[in-house]
Amino acid sequence: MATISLRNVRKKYGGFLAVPDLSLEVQHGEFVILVGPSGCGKSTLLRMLAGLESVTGGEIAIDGEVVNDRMPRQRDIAMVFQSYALYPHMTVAQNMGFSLKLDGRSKAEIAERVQEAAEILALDKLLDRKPAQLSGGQRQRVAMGRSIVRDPKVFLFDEPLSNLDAKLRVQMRAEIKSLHNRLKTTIVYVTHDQVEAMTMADRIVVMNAGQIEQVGTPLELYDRPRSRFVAEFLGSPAMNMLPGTLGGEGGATALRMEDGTTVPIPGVGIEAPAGREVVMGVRPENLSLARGGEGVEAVIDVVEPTGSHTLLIGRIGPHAVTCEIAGRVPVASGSRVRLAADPAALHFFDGESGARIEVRPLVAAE
Amino acid sequence: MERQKRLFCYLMVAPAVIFTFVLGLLPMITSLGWSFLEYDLIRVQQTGTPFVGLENYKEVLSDGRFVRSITNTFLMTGLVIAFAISLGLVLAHVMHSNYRGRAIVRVLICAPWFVPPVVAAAIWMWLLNTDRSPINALLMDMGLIDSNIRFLTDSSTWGPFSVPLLSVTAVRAWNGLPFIVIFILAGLQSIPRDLYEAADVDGGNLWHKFRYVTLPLLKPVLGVLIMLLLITGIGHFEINYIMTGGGPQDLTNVMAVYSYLQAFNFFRFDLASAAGGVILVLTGIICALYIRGQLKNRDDR
Repeated sequence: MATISLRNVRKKYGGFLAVPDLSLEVQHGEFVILVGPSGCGKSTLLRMLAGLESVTGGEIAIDGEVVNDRMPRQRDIAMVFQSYALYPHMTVAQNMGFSLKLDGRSKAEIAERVQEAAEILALDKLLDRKPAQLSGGQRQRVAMGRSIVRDPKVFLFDEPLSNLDAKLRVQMRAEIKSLHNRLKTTIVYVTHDQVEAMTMADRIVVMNAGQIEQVGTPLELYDRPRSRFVAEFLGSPAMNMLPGTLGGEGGATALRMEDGTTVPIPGVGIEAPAGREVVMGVRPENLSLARGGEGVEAVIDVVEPTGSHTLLIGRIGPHAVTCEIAGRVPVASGSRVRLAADPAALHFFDGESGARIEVRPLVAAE
Repeated sequence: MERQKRLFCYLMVAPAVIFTFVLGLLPMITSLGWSFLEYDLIRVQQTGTPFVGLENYKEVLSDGRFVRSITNTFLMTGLVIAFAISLGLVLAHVMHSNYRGRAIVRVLICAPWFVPPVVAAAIWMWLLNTDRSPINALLMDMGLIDSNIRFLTDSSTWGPFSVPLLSVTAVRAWNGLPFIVIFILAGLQSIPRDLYEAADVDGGNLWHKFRYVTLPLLKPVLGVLIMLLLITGIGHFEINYIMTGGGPQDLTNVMAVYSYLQAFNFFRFDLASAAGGVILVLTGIICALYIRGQLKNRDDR
């Protein structure tokens, strides 16, 4: 267990500033996931933590000790690589025990600790195999076993599940999470898959262009995204985004899109100056089919029944919108429906900067 | 259609097959045939070329000079392999790592390759020649030696070793080095970088990374390399012949040079062919081992 502090960390590759200025605190035993699109600097950050990349500026501290100038082997960290990076000429047991062997531990101790880790990961029957004789999921487990055996202060995971098929990924997600519950070791985990981030993390760090967009628990980020970027990145299917201009009298009661379509803001409207360019966001599951003349008209292009839910994919005015409705609905593709939204579930972002606009519902006039 | 395609294929490989047959296989078979005949160029008009069975083999194998040349062949080949591969590993790392001026270093390391063995032998003969050896002059100026080292003519020995043997070995290693370096470099480049990063995280230092990652993963490449060097080393001729002609006192005599001298100095084509036959058998054994190893490797995968 350990804390990690990143203070004003910078990373420059030649003339390219990969990470301009980043600070982050990770608590004892926390499971933190860095998530963002490729090239956002999340892997660079992880590699700097591991000591595989040098730090251009700022400080990285593990358990209060600044480790900027320490070699990876002096940092007491373990890392699981995207490619697993198993030594192909060594057996599973040798792979897992390699760090202990380099550390000069006795054969008996190595065997014992490898056995222990192998049992946790259900690898005990595969210890004599070579990596080439293992399936993707087994290799993944060996890579984790190699980390567990060392009992390090921090686990680093670099997109560990991206080479697995979908089913195995779901299974390994649960395994990693239960492993964390059991070991309580601090974990920093990098992924570009928001589902992994949402399902596994204690806290998510959403990164974009080398900077942190938002840090928080998965549900905090889901419910109150601080920017349009975070809102669009988390959640599947993604949040619907409807750009337009606020309009109405005595507050904003409608959103006017560039083609003239007007979307009434549900409820009584929000307190915001009319004429402001905004993007209104609403998650697919917060949309519902409206009765009568309420809501706004949408054209449904595709209906996707998933069994438990039905996805309606269509357009409001010129903008694509997805609606997720529990159960089954009798809507045919090509039909026109009216969609309504829960006023509390609306998000507003500045049209230009994408920053969240905090809104208050208008108090209904007497 | 199918026939035309096949015809085209045969046409394309024909030149290679004809060359191999006329310049490789045919002389080999002919000389193998001669090795069972009496074929003394000086007496051939009186005696003809009667069949003598294994007599020629008995004669060369009981010739002390030939036995000596077998030892020398294996000794020199072994030394060349050991020396060139150790140095090749170092130089391949030098070529593999990233730094300014790497291109120049790469060209320099590859330079001996641009020199044909015959020319290399001539250059080194001049460099090592006792009377006006620049290397001797340099060593003298540096105060490392008091008298000239007779690199190619000193006939004192320590066991099977002698100064000329080591000199010729060094030149052979130097000439073969670029090939070895390129071979190893290709092997190094095929090792994934993240294995080294994993070793970094696992607590490995430079030596550990070499010992536990580089070396085991280069093993297949080194195996092929050693086999190739063995095969070419056993039949090696030109550098030994040009630099010393096998001398002094047969100290650098190898099987191929022995065979050549039998044929073209003493006109005993039968004995030369028998010596060639011995080389063929030894090379054949190594080839068989090599091919077996290759097949086994493929099965392992």
